Amino acid sequence: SCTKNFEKINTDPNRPTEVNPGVVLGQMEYRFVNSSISAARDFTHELMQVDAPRSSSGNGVHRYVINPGTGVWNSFYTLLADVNVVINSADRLKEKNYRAIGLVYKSWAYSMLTDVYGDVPFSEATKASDGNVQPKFDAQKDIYTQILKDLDEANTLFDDTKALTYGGDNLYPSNTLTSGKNVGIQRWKKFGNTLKLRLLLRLSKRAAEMNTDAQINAILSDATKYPVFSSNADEGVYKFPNVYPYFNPYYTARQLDWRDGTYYTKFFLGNLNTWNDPRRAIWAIPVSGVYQGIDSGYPTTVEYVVGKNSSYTDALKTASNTGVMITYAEEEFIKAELALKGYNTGKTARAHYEAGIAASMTQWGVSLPTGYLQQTGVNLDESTSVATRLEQIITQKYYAYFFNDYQAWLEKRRTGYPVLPRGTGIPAENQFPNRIPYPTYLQSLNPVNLKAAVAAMGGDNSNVKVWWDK
Amino acid sequence: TRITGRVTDTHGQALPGVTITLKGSTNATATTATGAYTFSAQRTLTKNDVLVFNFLGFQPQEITFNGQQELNIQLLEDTRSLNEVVVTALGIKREEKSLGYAAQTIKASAVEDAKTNNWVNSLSGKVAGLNIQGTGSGPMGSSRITLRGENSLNLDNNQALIVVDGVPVSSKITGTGFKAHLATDSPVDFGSDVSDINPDDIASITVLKGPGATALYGSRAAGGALIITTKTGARKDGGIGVTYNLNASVDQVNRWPDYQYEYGEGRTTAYYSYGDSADGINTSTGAAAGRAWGPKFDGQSYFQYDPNTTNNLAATRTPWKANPDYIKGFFQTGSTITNNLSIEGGTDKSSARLSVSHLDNKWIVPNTGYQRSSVALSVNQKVSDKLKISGKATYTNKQSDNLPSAGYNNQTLMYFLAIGTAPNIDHNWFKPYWQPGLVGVQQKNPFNPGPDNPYIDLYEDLNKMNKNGFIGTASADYQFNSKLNLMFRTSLDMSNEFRSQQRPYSITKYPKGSYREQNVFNYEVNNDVLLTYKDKVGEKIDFSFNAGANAMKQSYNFAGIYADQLAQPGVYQLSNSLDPAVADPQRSQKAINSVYAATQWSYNNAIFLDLTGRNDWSSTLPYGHNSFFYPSVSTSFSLGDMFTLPKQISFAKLRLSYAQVGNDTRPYQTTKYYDKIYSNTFTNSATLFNPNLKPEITSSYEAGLDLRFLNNRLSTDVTIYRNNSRNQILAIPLDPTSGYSSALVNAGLIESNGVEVVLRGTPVSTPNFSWNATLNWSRNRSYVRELADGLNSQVIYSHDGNVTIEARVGGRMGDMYGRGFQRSPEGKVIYSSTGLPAPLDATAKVWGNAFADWKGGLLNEFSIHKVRVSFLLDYQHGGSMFSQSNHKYNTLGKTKVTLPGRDGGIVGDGVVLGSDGVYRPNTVKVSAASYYENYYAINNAETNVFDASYLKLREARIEFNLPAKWLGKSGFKSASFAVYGRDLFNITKFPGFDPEGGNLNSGTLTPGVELMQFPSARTMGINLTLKL
Repeated sequence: SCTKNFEKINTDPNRPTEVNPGVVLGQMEYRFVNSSISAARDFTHELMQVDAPRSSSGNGVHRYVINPGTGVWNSFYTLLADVNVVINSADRLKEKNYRAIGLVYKSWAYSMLTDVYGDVPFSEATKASDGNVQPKFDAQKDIYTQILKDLDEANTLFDDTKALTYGGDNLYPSNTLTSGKNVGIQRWKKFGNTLKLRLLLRLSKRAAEMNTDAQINAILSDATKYPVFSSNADEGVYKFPNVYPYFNPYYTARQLDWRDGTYYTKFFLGNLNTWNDPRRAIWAIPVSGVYQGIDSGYPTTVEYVVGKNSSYTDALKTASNTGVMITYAEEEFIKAELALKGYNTGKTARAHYEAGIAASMTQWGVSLPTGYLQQTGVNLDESTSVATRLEQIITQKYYAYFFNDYQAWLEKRRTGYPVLPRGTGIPAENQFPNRIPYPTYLQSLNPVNLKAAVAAMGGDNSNVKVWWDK
Repeated sequence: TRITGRVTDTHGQALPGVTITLKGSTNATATTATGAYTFSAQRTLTKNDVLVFNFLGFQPQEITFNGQQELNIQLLEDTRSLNEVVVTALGIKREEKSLGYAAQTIKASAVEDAKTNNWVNSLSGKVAGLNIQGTGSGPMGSSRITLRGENSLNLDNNQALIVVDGVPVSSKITGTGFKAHLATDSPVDFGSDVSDINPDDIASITVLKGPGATALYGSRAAGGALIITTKTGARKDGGIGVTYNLNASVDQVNRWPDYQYEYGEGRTTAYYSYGDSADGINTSTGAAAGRAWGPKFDGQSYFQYDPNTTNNLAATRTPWKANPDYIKGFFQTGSTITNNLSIEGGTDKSSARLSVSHLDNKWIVPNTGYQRSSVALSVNQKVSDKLKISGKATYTNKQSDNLPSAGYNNQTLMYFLAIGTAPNIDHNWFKPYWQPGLVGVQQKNPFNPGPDNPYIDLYEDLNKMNKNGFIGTASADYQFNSKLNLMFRTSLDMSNEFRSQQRPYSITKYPKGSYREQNVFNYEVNNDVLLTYKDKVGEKIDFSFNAGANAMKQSYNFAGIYADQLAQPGVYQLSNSLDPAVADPQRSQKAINSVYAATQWSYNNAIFLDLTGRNDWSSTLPYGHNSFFYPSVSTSFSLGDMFTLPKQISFAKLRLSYAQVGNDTRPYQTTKYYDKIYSNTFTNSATLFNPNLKPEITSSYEAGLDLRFLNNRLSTDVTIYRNNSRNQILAIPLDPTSGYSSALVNAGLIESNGVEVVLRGTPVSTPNFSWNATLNWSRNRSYVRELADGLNSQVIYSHDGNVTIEARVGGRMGDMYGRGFQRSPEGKVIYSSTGLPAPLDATAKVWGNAFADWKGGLLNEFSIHKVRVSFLLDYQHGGSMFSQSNHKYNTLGKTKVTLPGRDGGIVGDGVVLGSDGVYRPNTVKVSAASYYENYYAINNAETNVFDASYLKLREARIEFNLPAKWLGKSGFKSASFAVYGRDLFNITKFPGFDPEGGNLNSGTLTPGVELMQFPSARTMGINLTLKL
């Protein structure tokens, strides 16, 4: 019997065995933000009292009940395999810019994984095709150390004289050159350094052992070597083009799911109402002319009526600008905090703070109203205590973090701000979570390494603090 | 002495060629084409003389001479003729007596008499061990055909192979890629090549149940095979034969969930208001979201929907009353009309048959249905004394202007009926389905905004198809001499199908509409060569030897093009795509080359031995390691030919067999590929490939006993078997941090044990009245003995985690896992202090099994003069199904089970754990709405998995054959008229529509979980057959 053409018959005519980084990058960028902003909408917004479910007879995130494995675990690890494809194919084709973009994504994704879950597989992860199907978990400190190195490497690799040979970038215009320069690659470089600044600040409790001061100062003092975001044009927001397939992931969400089941909270709308904040109209639907919210953490017997409180506007379902990864506003708030703490940022804390507020307004398509910054509660009075001013900075940062993955929660864990009211329906024993427990399937799919990680972490519940939070 | 007369069968059909012999002499004659005979006795007959009427396939009849001059005889069909010829694997015809494995033959009438949209469903209850699993997904009635349970963890591997005249026919259902639960779009049942076969062309079906019978078919028949022989032209010395058949039937929903009509829409019983009104804020539309927890229909009046005002708000209160048609009004009486005409004829050298058929179906859901036309030709020509050439070809066209979307989702009618409406709503209110002035642009959905308007679903969300299919075979048979024969055959199953799905502007999942097209091309060619040598050794030993080869090649080409936003509403053309239209090409090819050999030995026509061996080379296995061999041995002992049996035992046969069958895998599993995503970008594959895959191997042991008593009036055939399936190709889950979510491995052992019993009896057999009864009974248990190392469970199907069908080591195939109530040590449901059941027990438990404990079918056939009466009872014991319909209807207050506690609340029966560790009875009263919403929550498998036992009156039929003298000189040889019904009664405790459900998950028919199935229908029809 003749099987000589079987090899050809069993070669898939639809799928390639080799890819260049350009055909992987675009979908990967899109799927990363789909996952990260749904974490914002489904988890962070509820936990951080942006919104609350209309009815919640069970436990719920707003009552600090955190189910294992929720969030970005599955999707990020799946996409990190694609990051590997980008990096490896870039190396094969000697494409430094792709490698650098891959390293930025890797840093962005792993920093979020470790911030959310604690110790996670890192050095041995995504290596199943090399035979490792049960990767070990790395200590958060080691992960941070490597991420900071990777971001440095990316910073040196970015070459703004070269267009991306195989295209594929949908975040920045780096596929082509503008007047001989790659503006997109310049922005990627800023993205990497701004991310590095975010992570260095996150390590503030571990500043000494991680030598963060020197690294922060290096960035602050040398804008040529370490450029960071300098305007809204630079911001790391995935802009949904809203043509197939890159629609805002909520564009077909039903009213039932988009706004009849969740309403903004009294806490979230309260400040916006007080400040008469123009972002309010972009984010929320008024009910009979007013922006009205519900309680978070209410008792299980409460059920709010449909349509009588403010929820997400339908425009946000199709908005192009909800794919928030890291923004210019955040960068200014980071600098405001650094300035407050005595770092030389070149400006005052107040100047950075006000620039951050203005940047967030611009980011959401509204302009800063006259007199907004002078209002009580917004005005950063330099005569008040550092703690008070930090609270103001982080509170504004919290609003600027709308739709920005887990950042509002991570900053709450780091700084304690904003101060959230505790709902009367939250059982006394429930604590504000410090992490998300690991997915339960790891108990069967990677038991030995999981056990070691849980032992190292000191437990696997949502009360356990991660290394940088201790 | 001269005797004249006519010989017919019990249907009044003339029997030509019946021999009439004077017992003890050579004095004989035969009937002519009209069944008439003239017997001229060579001597004067006395009352001691006996005339014997003999005809192959009929029971011989002896008539004692009584001075008759005219003697009209009806011969009874011999359903179990001893030397009945059975078509076995590869079309090899064998005497039943010699078979060492179970094979059950069914007559054409089984699929012709009480027609249904998919002929496969007519087999239900007629074969022991055969399981037909429907899904309730639409008029095509696609179903899963399995024999002897589930041997593979991959559900698609367990279907029986369907072979028509040597052509393996695809039962593949090409889905639209969507799953049945809340995907962007919903699956549509487009049917398969198998369902397109015209039952009027079927002559007989042989069911080869196990690997022992199908080993020669190789890897594809590991799940058994249905061997279909189609009709060929018969010799008609008197001219041509013309048969016309008309079948007309109506379908009605035969069973509804137990709906309540006492309470209307809302979440509060205090009042009802459509929109905000003087009575209070809105309690309808989005506020109710499909719930029927509103006020009781008690003669009061409320502000309700008014179809005649611009904003539909009523100016005055109107009476609050139930609308009994609020669900039933969306269904209609379906109808199917089939016309079939065949012409046949032949001589001693050649024969031919041509049939044309047309079917027109309008289904029980308005604006759905399909049409099927087919032409079949069969020719045989004896070119010379040694060479015979024959060919068969069937062309089928099937087209539909709309097939319904199935499953639980926007765009399906059944989803709307569960969550979109309530008993106070008039279904006609949904009929103007566009907003005034926005026709084609904005739908009007006056109540729950979740699901789309149902009339948009039916009249604008169209799923069209047009399929052209061809099944053909050509063979040449060369008889070198009386011992050696060579057969060459080439056969083709090919179909090309054009489909489109259009969605208008403003439907939820496609705000700017959508238009999709798919061209689906399926092709399989088989070339076979088979050499047969037959000889004798001495007087007592017969043997034969077969050697053959097969080359099979399959091609599948799916070309999808999608325009998921339309530039201009209502224009369903790819050129109207707002964005560049997206291509979704899927092509695959597969080839298997095989050689095989078989030898049969018989000693004294009493002991039979078969040996077979087959080697396959499959393109889907790793190149260089793609060869696999499997053998079979089977024996048959005709005990009556070996020993002297008691007189009452007319026949006894013992059979034993052992066989192995291998099974390959899907194409392209052995190399790394990047998966296409969003049409032109790529992602790392989620499943880790395996360059070392081995074939799955099923080993089967089978023993059977065939006993017949009292001159074959009573017979029983019992089979027991055990199948072991090893090296299953599984995608086992991986820790996704490894970069892959699953990996392909060879692992696992599934063991299936079963018993099949066929019991036949002829309690009464007289020329004017006969009664035949057949009981088919079977029981199968498939156990999961092993999985991959370290793996205790393999999820076969998951309904979004709410219920899973899992293979767990030590468990049964089809075990359904899910969560249930927490229970106190006394077994009481634990409640929380708020009066609702406490959070569900975190540990998933088994709540049922998707497959039946046992099944039985009882067929009774009566012949009373010219009237034939038959009915078939079909029973399933056990088997379970998760009912999404039950969950949804109950949590939304649509069913009668949710009535207790509506007035004044409900105190759930259970206990509360006190802080002192003592369980005390729950005393907290809660509203009925929150109680039932909690009790029947979707993730509570305990309250949503039900026993799927049923008893159905599957078929009932009365047929009248007009007496020959009535036909007179009309020219008709025979005429019959029948009235029949299918699925007339459906007795079951299952709360959904039909316990025979499942779901269509893209192209896979999944048992055990119904996701808003369509109602089952009762069919009543007439059948008229005229023969010229």
